[in-house]
Amino acid sequence: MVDQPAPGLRGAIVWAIVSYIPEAPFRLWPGDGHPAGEIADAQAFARQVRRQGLDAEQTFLVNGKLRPVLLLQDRPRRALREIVALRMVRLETLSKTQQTSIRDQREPSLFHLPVRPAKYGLSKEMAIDLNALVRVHASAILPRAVGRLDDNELRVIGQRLVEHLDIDIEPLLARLVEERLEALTGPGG
Amino acid sequence: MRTTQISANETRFPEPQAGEAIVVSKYAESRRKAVILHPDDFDLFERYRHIFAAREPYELRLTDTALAAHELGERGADEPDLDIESLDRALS
Repeated sequence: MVDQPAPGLRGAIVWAIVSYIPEAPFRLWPGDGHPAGEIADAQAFARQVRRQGLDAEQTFLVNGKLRPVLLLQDRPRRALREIVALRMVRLETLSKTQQTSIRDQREPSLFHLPVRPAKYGLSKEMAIDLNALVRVHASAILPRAVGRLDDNELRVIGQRLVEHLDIDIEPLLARLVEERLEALTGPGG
Repeated sequence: MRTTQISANETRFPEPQAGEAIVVSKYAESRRKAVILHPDDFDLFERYRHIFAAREPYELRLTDTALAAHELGERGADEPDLDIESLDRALS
């Protein structure tokens, strides 16, 4: 039985096993006693599935890493086991100029986390990468959160994420404005 | 929106007041052929259209620093060592 993360996951900084995105050439593991195979690209794989009877489901060899992530969703019912999160990046391998730019809040894609172990639970300076959305399974998360973002910080992350994901919320905003105007100008408004 | 100009001397049309839209219809008002707006209202419409126009993909706005940091993170090259202190906190 795998330990479950406690409720209140949204905004928690946790350690989790995060796999890398598979990319071409794809490495396949055909099973014990067989050498790992390699397929050049997705089209070549699809052709083998279509014309050579290769099963569409294969074991792909993908690297993964234990690393801190920011969880973006609560799962109070525990009905969904996958949780959307954002990967973080350490600042120390970036140039001094790049690090300064992040610290000075001039990088909308990189939400700066200074070394504040009591709040963020990290002893290294990091940034949350708004371009690194990942899904992690609950069983891949260490149950004890090391830190947490507050509501204001999460609000900023959410607003930036809408832009980074190219989500069009203008129809929603327009409808809300119309409803508000209607409430203000309608009978009793 | 593509806007074309035509001289007022070359056509006849009713002159709408600000805040008024004149609908030119045909087939006994069942189908709208044109809507005539006051220039102020057209300017307002243009401003709204600009505000709510389709946006360019955010990727076009990414900075070199954002791309460099992302690439390091994707390869795991941003962490030369493990943050043992933090990991121990998670395991405590």
